[in-house]
Amino acid sequence: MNVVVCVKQIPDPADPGELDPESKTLKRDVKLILDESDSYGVEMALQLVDSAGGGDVTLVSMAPNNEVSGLRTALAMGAAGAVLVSDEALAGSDSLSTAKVLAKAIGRTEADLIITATESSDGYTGTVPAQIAELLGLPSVTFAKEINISGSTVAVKRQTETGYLEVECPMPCVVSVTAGVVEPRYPSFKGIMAAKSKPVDEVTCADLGIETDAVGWSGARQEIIGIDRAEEREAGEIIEDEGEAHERIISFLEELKVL
Amino acid sequence: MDFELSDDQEALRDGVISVLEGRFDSATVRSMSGQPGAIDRTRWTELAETGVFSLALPEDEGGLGLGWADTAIVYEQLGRFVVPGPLVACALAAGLVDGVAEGSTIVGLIEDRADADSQIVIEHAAGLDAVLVLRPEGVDQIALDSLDLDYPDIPLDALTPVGVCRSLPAGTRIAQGDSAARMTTIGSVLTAALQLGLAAGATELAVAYASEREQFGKVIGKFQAVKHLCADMISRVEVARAAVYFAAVALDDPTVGDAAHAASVARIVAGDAASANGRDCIQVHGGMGYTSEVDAHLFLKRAWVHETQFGSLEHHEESIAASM
Repeated sequence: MNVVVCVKQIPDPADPGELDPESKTLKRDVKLILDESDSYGVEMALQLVDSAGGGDVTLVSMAPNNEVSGLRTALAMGAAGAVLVSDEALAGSDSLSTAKVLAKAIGRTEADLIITATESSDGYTGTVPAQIAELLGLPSVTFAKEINISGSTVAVKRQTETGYLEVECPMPCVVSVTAGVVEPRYPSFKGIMAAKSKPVDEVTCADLGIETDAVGWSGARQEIIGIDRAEEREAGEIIEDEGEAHERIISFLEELKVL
Repeated sequence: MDFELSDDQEALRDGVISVLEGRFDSATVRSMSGQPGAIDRTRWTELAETGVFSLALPEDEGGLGLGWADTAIVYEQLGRFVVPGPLVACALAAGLVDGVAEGSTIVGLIEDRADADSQIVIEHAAGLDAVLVLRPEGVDQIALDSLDLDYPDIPLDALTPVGVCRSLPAGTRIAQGDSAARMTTIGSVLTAALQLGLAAGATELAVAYASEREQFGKVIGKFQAVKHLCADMISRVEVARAAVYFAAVALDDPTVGDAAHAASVARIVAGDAASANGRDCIQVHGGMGYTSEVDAHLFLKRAWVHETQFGSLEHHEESIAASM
């Protein structure tokens, strides 16, 4: 079974990033790392391929420059290779343009299953997985907390606010996984050294038959019109217990739908 | 000599840091004092699977075929995270004792020296499967159950509990004298790398506290007395790093210099850096530094433990003096 995992390389969240005041987007002229939310998808793909008894995990990513440091991390985990769409024209791509590019890149592979994160840690649109599925004409299952393969059918436990749904769909399909559902493995030193020689198929928009004015800033259908600081978190509510505090706590938990 | 790390070495360093950050955070390391010999076997196996003990092992023996310089870079980080266990012993025993490279067998190591007193101390004894004895004429393997061990209740370092015995059986010879001499030099360099890591870790802890703790309306790091302590600490780290890296390179390439001599230099400089930085880290923390809750004591106690391994400070000083 061959699984494609869409991964994003992002500035290290541990290093406070900067916003470009002109483009109102994150500056990306720093060393990029594998988005942690993608590491769950990579791990799940590796486990599925292991369970299937054979096959490969292939990464698909895009970047305006030819950055591969984040891809190397996923390759060191065990992915067999990667397709990297690298083109300056991609700078400023919105989520739909991103999905179009990734869908074209996925088309270069023979995927039985396409796994993505639910959303990236630097963009948070959360729309790319379903857009890729639509563009490829494949079924889409989102918020997967568990994936099981049986023959040519994928069974997914789909996380909801109140529990999970059990859904099935035929493969190939696009499944987005939630963070924290598996524990991503740490790359071994052997994996790290082997990752250097694993193939990264670097392609441009032209290679994929994509017009450069259809992506990036020129092709974006969304515009960031302003940036504001996130609001300070409000102070917590202090409940003085006069014998009824437990009722307030219960109603608070009910408001959060925890109970 | 250029000691800038190559891309591969940076990848190794970053790789081990990610494992250590995820699996050997301070709370986890502290909790290991409750394990036999302060060794968490699950995490030990994870270290082995990462390749920590087999970096220098030839590829046809299941290792990575890298050098001791690469191993030293990884061991520096193990020291920085105060990882407990017979780390150096297992790096030396990988390839000699089955299961050590994979983490399923854990061995300790002692030196059977003529100048040793009658009490033989075996670190992490309660968590070991076997002990290697470095003797001038060779390396012997002794099964742990053949030793008559006592376990002191209160070790100096809770993360380095020891067993003590009065005598050692002969054991099974697994390597000859030239291997024993080579292993002693390698062990010395890897111990120096651990000491370097301790010195660096203590510096980071002290600087973080000095940048956060406020007194008289400003962070204490702005006071000269504290600033100078921190500056001395980082100076010791940088000097120690140069000495340790040079010794590790000399292990891989004898044309660079005499490895045994370089190892002694590294032990003196890195040993001083670890101990002095451990003390200064406590000093920067003030009264808090003396409490068990602050990690500062972990660095200092481990530094004292390493001072006794692969030759004392005096031994290495005499060794250098004799070569001049």
